[in-house]
Amino acid sequence: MKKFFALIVLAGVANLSAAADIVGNAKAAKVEQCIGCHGIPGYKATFPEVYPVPMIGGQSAKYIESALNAYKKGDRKHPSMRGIAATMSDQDIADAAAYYSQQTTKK
Amino acid sequence: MKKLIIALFCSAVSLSAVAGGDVAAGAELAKKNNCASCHGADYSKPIDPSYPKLAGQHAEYLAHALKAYKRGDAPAGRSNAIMVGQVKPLSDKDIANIAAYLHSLPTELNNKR
Repeated sequence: MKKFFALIVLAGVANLSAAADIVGNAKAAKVEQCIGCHGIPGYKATFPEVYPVPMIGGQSAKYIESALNAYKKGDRKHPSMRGIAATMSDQDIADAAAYYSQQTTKK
Repeated sequence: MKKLIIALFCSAVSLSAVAGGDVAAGAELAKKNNCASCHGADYSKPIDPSYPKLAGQHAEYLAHALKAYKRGDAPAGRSNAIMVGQVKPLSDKDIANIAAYLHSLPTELNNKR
């Protein structure tokens, strides 16, 4: 019985480490396809409403990941962001999230 | 000519007022709809890191996002179940007011690159 518990615990740990495998690396972030819109103050998207694209510098990494995954999966349907998120691997997403979450408000 | 200029000026002012929204009314609506219970008391410290910081974000973007949740599964919508439920009772004017209020708050966000 004890052995069984130990196995379950081990399995749980192994699972956790598998889930935590992807660690965002801000330095590896490929932000070329982000900065053309999100790095230009005042840059506006025009579909379906006209609005300045969101500020994502200083946003939390987990939210950025969740938003990109929502575009990738189709829960968020904005066509431009869907197209971009579709090209990103889980690692790309984690890297971009790390990069933008580490931007501080200081100029 | 003068009249035309005055008319143009007036329409510009009223347009910007619509786009701007009413900060005080937005504060009331945010309270009524319990936005802070997930997005954090100052809207910069959400209760879960997978929820966005909203304080100081562009008002028009916030309004766009809220309208997208209203569209839900339709084109250019967003289908997040919690937010779809939250925006249901909101009119376009409510959305503009909430967006104006959130935009007026001190922000941690920036668009440096």
